[in-house]
Amino acid sequence: MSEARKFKVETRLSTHAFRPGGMTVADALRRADAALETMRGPCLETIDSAIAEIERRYGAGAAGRADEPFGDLYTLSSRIIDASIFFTGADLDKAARALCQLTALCEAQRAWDWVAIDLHLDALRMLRTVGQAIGERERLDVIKGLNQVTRKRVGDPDALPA
Amino acid sequence: MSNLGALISGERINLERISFLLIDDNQQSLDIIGQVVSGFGVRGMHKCQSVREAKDIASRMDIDFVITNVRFSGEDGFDFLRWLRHVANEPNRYAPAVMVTGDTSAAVVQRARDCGAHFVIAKPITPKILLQRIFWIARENRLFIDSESYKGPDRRFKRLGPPPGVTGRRADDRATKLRDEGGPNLSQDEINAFMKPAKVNL
Repeated sequence: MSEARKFKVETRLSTHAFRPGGMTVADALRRADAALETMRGPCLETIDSAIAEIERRYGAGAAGRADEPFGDLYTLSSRIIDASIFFTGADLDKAARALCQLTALCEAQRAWDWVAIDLHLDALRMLRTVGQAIGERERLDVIKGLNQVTRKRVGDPDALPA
Repeated sequence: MSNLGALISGERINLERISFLLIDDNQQSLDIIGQVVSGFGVRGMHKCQSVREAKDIASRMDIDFVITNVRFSGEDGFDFLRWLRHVANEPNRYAPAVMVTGDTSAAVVQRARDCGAHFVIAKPITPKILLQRIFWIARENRLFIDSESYKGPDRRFKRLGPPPGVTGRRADDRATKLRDEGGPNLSQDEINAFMKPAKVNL
């Protein structure tokens, strides 16, 4: 076994980040928030369109849902996570993350678990509609319930290879 | 854990001359990160929707900071980071790298760390969390490890010794047992425990 080399590297980040000029932390955060604000509308639209597409393709009423690809549901759930930066205090991102992991487990087993999928979709719809109005404890109970259902019915997400 | 000192809102940071490489196959996610980074005063930014595109950029230009999503169809963020650490030219192979992911299972966070990521940030990203990580990396300038099996920032910040079942290669190595893994999704605090955080007040 060869010896591991351990050495110091002077990165340009370390060299330049604290040079004169630039801006204060407060200004940087204010400017970043302002720049992000331009994306609020499109992101909220993404949340609604992604939930609608999940409903249309993977919902209980979708006749051909068993033939839909696993990867597309994962992608749609990921888009909800990204866009939920503007929908805080609802834990919508946590429900979408739970759906991502459920989908990854289903894909690994090449089998859908529609009871679990339907439950996650119900949770997404509920949190989008009233998530910001209900208490944190209720929201956490919802997320905990989703994770328990996944573990009980499909498997342990941590058992999946990354 | 090292204490790098508190950061106050009046403290200055200068990222004008730092070149960022952003990788995500979702255009909206790429735009979100791009808007945040531009708000920090970054002028040089390359946005890529594929690993192939990112490799091309990193082969031709100097990159000072990488932010990449984890999962893509085809080659993914793990592949890019491994390529960056093992194949890319200097100085790009030493560039600080942050991975962003919606899937924060322990397996994903550990794999990101083992590919040479400095930090993993749970999506959705926020300006405050991203700026904290940039500060930490800039201040700390972690040692770089170059071995057969791993190239990247030093992962052993808790002095837990070599991994279980592996004979240590450092003079100060000692055997130990890692704790059992927790639940399915790690919180940002639990992720940080893998990635050497330091307290910064923004």
